[in-house]
Amino acid sequence: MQWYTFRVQRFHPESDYQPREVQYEVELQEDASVLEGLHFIRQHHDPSLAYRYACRSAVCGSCAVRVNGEIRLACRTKMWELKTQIVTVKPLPTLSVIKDLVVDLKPFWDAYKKIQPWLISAEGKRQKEILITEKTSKIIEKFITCILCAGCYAGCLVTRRERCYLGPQAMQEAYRFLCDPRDEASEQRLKMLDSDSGLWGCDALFRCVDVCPWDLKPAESIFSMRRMVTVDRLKRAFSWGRSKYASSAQMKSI
Amino acid sequence: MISSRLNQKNAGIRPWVESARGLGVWAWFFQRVTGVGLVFYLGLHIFVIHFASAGGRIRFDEVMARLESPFFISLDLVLLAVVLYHGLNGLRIVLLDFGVGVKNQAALFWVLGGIGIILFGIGVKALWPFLAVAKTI
Amino acid sequence: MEVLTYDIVIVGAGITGLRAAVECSRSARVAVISKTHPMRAQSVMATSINAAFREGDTWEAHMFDTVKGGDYLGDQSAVEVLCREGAEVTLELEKFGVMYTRDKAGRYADKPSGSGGQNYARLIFAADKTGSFILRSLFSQCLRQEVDLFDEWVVTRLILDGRQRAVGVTVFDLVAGDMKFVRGKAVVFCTGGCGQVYGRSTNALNTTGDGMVISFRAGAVLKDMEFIQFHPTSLYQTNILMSEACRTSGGYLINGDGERFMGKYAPQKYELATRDIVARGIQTEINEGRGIGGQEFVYLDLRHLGAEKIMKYLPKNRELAIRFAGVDMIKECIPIQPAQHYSMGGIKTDVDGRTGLEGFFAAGECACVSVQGANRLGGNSLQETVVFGRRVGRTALEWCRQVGYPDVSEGELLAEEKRLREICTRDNGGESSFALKKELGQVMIQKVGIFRDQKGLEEALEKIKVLQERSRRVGIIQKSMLYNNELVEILELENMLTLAEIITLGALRRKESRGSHYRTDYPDRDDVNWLKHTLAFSDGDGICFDYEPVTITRFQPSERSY
Repeated sequence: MQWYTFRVQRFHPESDYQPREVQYEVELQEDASVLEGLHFIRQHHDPSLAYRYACRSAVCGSCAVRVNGEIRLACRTKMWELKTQIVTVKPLPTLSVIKDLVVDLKPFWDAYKKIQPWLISAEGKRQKEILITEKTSKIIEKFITCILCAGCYAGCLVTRRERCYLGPQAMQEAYRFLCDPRDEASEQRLKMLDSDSGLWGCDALFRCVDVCPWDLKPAESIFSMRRMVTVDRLKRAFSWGRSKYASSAQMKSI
Repeated sequence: MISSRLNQKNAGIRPWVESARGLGVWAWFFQRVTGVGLVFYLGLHIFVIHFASAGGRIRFDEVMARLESPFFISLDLVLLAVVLYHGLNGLRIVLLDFGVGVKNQAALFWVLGGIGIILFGIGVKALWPFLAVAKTI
Repeated sequence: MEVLTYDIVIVGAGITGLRAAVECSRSARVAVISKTHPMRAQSVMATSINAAFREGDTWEAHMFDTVKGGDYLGDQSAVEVLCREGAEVTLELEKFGVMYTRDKAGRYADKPSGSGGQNYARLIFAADKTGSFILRSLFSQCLRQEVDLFDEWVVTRLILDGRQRAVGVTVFDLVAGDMKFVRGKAVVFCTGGCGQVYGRSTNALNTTGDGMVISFRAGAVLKDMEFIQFHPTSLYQTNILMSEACRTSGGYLINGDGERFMGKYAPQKYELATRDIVARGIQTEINEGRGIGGQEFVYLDLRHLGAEKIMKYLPKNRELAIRFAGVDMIKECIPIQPAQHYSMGGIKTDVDGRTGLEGFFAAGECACVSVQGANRLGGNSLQETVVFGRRVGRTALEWCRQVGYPDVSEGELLAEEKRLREICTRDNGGESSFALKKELGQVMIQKVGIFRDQKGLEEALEKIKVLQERSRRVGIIQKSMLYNNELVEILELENMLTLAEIITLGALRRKESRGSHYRTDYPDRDDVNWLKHTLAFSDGDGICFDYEPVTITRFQPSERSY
C-alpha cells in the first residue's frame, strides 16, 4: 500500500464560477487503477465527487479523463505506470463540463450520428450468411475495438477550434463502412466527408493516434480517405471524369 | 439546464495548450511559426531590394559587402533552415494526403528531417566562401 | 414535474432494449431511457452468441443442450421459441451492420468447441467483441430511426393507474437535476441483471437490479431469483471476466497440487462442463485448501495452446489479463476465481414479454421467461436478448395499437418527487452507502454464494435486515439534485437490499440442489417436490412466495452429468 496525492478538478455549476483543484490523500495498491483512487476519494473524503464509470475493465469507454495531462481511461491506468506520487485528474478537454469530471459528450455523439454509422444497403432477408473474406472481417473487427470513449475527439486540437469538425472517431467510423463490402454508399459517404469539417479539417497533429487507449489509429483512416479523394480528383482532372470514388475504394474485394 | 457559461469553462487557450503535446502538434506549430516568419522575411526582402540602392546604380562591391556582413550571413542561415522546414513539412502533409507514410508518420517526419539537415549542410557549404570572408574580416 | 408522452417507453438501453426499440420505432413514438449511455451498457462484455444454423446442427439439439444445461427448470415451450428463432434473429443482425468473424471460405468461423455443456460448436462471434458490435449496430440503427434516447436518466418508480395498468415511469434526470414523468401506452423493462448485489461480480459497477425491484414494488412477480450464475473464470481480486472462450479454446484448470482437477467433477467434459459445475469444482478445491498456495484462486492454464491460437481466439482476454492481472497467458497461468455473472431469474414474463400487469412488458436478463432454467449456457444470453428483445418490441407495438393513453393521477407523481427530495435533505446519520454495499456484497458471496445451507442463509437474512435498517441512516452531502450521484447510490442500495432479501428467501425455501443453486444440506435434485418455479411478489409490505409448475414438452427430466 502506498499513499498518493490526488489533485482533482472539481466544478459544480451551481456553486462554482471557476473550476477548482482539490487535493486528496489516497491509499492504494501499486497495481490499483486511477478509477479505484477516485472510488477511494468518494468513500473516504467526499462522496459527492462525480465521474463516469461502468465496466472497470476498459471495454465500455465511460471513464476517459485526463490523468497527469494525458487522456486515459481511468480504469486502465495503473498507479505504477504513472511513476509519480502526485496524480492530477481533470475532465476531458474540449467538451463542456457538467460536473467535476463529467463532461457533456453531445458534440461527440452528434458527429457520430452525422456520418450515418449504419449499413446502407438494399439487402433483403437471407437464410445463409453472406460470404465475406477473412481479411475483410479482420479489418472491420479492428475498427470495432473502438469503445467510443471520446478521448480522440476531446484530444484533437481541431475539434476545439472548430465546433463543426467531425473529429477522428466519426471519420474512422465512416471509413469502417467504406471497408464494408455490404455497404453501398461509399460515394455518398466520401462526398459528405470531402469538406473542411470532414477530411480536410484534419491538421495532421496525430493526437488521436497518441491518445487512443486501444492503439487504434483514426488518423490513418482519415488519410486513407483523403487519398481516395485526392487520387480520384487527379484522375478526373487528367482523364475527364472516367473514375468515380467507388472505384478507388479498393477494399471492395470479395 | 446547463448554461452556455459552462461551455467556456473547459475551452480557452489554457486547456488547449495543456493538451497540446506530441510530435504532430509541434510539427504543426512550427509550420505556422515558420510560415509567419517567411511572410515577414518576404516583406523585408522586397523592402531591402527596393530601397537599398535607391538613387543610384547597384554596385557589385556594395552588394558583396552587404552579403559578407555577419548579420546577413546569419540571417541567410536562419532563412535556409526556415524554408527547408516549411517546405519539407509541407511535403510531408502532401505525402500524407496521398497516403504515403501515414502508418509511420513519426518515421516520415524524421526521415524528412534528415533530408532537411543534409540539404542544410549543402546550403552551408554554398555559403562557406562568404563565411570564410566574414571570418577574415 | 415535466411530463413527456410517448407510445412506448423502453427502460434500459442494452441490446434487448435497443433491439425492442428498433422493432417498434418504425410505427410508434419510442423513448429509450437508461442510467448510462447506451454504448456503456453491460452488453458490451458479451463475447459470443449461439445460433443453431450450421449443417449438422438443429434447433432441437440446441434446445436439448439448453434444457439439460438449465437442469430441466427451463420452461420448454419458451426454450423452443429461443432455439427456433435464434438462428434467424442472429443472422438478421448482419443486416444492421454486425459482421461476424469469417473463416477462410468466407463463412462464419467456428470455435474449437461449443460453450460449456453444449454438444455442438454452435457459437458465432465477431472476434471477442460480439456484444459490443451488436450493441453498436443496434444503437446506430436507433439513431437512424430517430428513436429518442435519454441517457443518465434513472428510473425511480413504475407508475400504475387504478386498474393496475402501467402508465409510465418517473425518472430522475441526473444532468438536468430534476424529476420527469415519462408517460406511455406501454412500458418495457430491459434493465439487465443485478451483479453488484454480490461482492465478487464480473458485472459492471452499475448493474444493481433496479428494474427488477422497481417492477417488484409495482406488483410484478419475480421468478426463480435464487438462481444466480457464478462464472468459473474471473481474474483473482479484480473479478474481471476471462470469457468462456478460454475454456472452449482448450484451457485447463489447475489446482495448488498441480492437478487438472475438473475430471473429478465432470469426468467426460472436464473444463467444458456447464458453468455451475465448473464453478463448484473450483470453489470446492479452494475450500478444501487446494487453491494455489492455499489462497482463494486456482490457475487457468492456456500455455499449451500456443501463441497463434491465443491470438486468434483470445486477443481481448489476453490484453485484459496482461493489464489487470499482470500475466501474459502465452507464457504464464492466470489466477482465477469464480464470481457472480448472471441472474437466471427475473420479472416473470411469457414468451411475448407480457408480465401480468397490463401495459407492462419485460425482456432480457431482467426478465425470466425461463429459458435459462437453473443455469445458463454460454452464448445463450446474447441470443435471449435479441430473440426476446424483438418479440417484446412486437408485443408492445401491438398493445399500443389497441389502447389509448391512460390517465395519470398527479398525486402519485408528486409523492414520488417528494420522496426523492426528502432523501436529498437527509442529514448524515453516520452510515455510508459504500460500507453497506461492501458488507452486503460480502454476506451474499459468503452465505448465498456457490454453496448455501440453512444456517448460512438464515444468518445472511438477519444481516440483510440489519443492513436495511442501517441503510435508512445513510446521509447525503449534496443537497442539490444536479448530477447528484449520492442520491443514485442510495436508490441503488435500497434496490440491492430488497433484491438480496428476495434471493436469500428464495434460496432458503428451495430445499434441493439444482443447477446453480446448491444446498450443502440438500445436495440432490428433488424432482418430486421441487421441479417448480419460485415466484416472489409483494403484498404491500412483505415478500410473499408461491410456486408454479415447469412446462415440459419434449425432454423429460433425467440425470444431468457431464
